Amino acid sequence: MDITAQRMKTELTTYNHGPAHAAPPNFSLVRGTSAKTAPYPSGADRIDVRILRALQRSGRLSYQRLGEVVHLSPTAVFERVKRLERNGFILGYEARLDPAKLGVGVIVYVEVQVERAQSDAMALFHDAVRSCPDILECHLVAGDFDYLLKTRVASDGDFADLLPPSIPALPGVRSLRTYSVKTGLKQHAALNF
Amino acid sequence: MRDTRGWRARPPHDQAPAATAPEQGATEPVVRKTAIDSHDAHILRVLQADGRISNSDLAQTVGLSPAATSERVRRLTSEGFVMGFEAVLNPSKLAAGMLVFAEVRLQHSGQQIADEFKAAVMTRHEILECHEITGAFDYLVKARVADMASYRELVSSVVWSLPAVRDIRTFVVLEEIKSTAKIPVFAAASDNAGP
Repeated sequence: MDITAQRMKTELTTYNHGPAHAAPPNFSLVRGTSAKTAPYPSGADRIDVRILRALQRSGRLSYQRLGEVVHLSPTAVFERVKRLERNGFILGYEARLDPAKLGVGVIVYVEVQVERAQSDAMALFHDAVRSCPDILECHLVAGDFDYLLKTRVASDGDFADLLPPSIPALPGVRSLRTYSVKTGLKQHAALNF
Repeated sequence: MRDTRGWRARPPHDQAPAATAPEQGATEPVVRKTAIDSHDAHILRVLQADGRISNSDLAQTVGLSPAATSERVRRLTSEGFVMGFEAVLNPSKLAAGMLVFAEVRLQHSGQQIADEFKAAVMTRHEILECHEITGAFDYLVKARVADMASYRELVSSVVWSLPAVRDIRTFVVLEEIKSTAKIPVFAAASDNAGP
């Protein structure tokens, strides 16, 4: 085995058996790379970052193709991807669908005030939100109101302002304010890292 | 913005039976202009849940042959129902753990004012979303930053340096209860079914 492959095999072994928070390996002796470890997220090295960026852009890339992008064998890439999944860098893979074609072209934000910000009432509210497919996002915020919700509705005239009935029906809601999105400047930019 | 206390339920409409049930509790949009049948809808739901599923596993899940399945996926993609696939990454692991929303008000309406602001927004990669709003403010911005210091720098670059921006109101997210891009998918049992 030549020196490059041998070193990579050693690094792979470290990843498989070492602790999740081990310092990223120094790839400086691998041809063409530099030893940059500081700017990278802890637990992921330069190559992991490239893999993550590639998969974020194109989630169904084959391990073969990914290997070509980062100059590793498909097996080595597969190991890295599995490790990134195990360690929670990758939460899952999703098809991105066109909401307008699927009848929900308009985004509506809802500011929710709850009856009492008490931990059991909040837990009830959180559970209801999580099991409601109409609600895409729900954030507990520090501000004039308690939660910011995001939902989508049909884009046709009269019905553009109607909330899905599941939202006012959420437990513990004191009041709601809604506003709809006219146009999206940036809709779904990739995570920057 | 509207106060929707006393909001009335949407009028009921005939729900034609679908061969495959959509998610429990999802609300069907009132006007559906979808050109997908129940098999397509099932395929889309599965692909949304597991974007890397193999064609053979997908075929097995939806009860079609692999050939029929891959043809449907090809059609759904070429017709734009499927825009792409992506790995969903964990922001807190990638040093962008602080989520903020900001309501931005511009000085006054006007194309040039808006363009300046838009250009600034497109440059900054921390800004993930920017929506033009009908209401008491002009834009809702969603941004992920590492910490308060980074946010201060972002505000200073987009807000304080732009005369167009009148003021911003920031809401720091204390906890992300839910955050998904998955949308409920329904088949069109009949086109343009209304109330």
